[in-house]
Amino acid sequence: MPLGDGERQISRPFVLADGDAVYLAYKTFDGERTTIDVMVSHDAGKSWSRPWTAAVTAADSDHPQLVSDGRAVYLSWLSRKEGYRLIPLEAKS
Amino acid sequence: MSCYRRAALIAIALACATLAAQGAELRPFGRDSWKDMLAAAKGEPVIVHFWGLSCSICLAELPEWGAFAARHPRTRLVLINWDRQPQDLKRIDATLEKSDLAGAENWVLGDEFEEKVRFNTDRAWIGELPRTRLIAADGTLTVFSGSADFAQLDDWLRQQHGGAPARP
Repeated sequence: MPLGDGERQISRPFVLADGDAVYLAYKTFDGERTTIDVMVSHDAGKSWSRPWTAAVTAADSDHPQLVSDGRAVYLSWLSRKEGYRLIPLEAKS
Repeated sequence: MSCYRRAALIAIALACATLAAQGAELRPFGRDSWKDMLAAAKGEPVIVHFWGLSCSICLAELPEWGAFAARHPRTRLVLINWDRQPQDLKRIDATLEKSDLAGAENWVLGDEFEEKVRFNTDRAWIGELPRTRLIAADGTLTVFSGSADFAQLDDWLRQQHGGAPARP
């Protein structure tokens, strides 16, 4: 898990809480590609899933955001190559 | 088609003329610029300062960098504006002029993929400004974020010149 690795430019964390479910998305850059990794907790943050990669791009991109319509949680992200993406997140633990 | 091309060439020529008419020469800082800068710096101390128009500490501090440059006219001071493209070049130039830094070595971000340029420049940098990197004569790199301690920078330069006072 690269979170905290000072050489991978971990940035732009975004947290969304929905009842006991808490989602965390953040940006990572490995020198070539920007990745949005997501983690989820179903017990109000006491324990967390492993991070999984929800989206990737190889050009410049906006900050990631998490949004909910009350039924599902989505990653909302704009990147230059791919354009706007609204990606439904599946809770993995 | 050729008409479009001619129009594009005229636009480029006009843009160049506009840039030339401004006080500061603003060079594009790209993916390999840091590597090139390091290679060119061998044997000579260099101070590289990253700043941005959206960074209030940077703007407050720039006149002090201007005064520092005036104190050390023989020191290579490099200023890199890190505003994302498209930058407000006129405002960048006006800001440098106002701080007496138009004559310094000035660069602006020359690539829209800022993360890539930043990674190639300084892997541990998450983009905060201001940021300053010191390249010592022996190639040793020092970095700090936030405002500068200019007395400390004076000392650093003095050490770089073998302990003798930095020559004005």
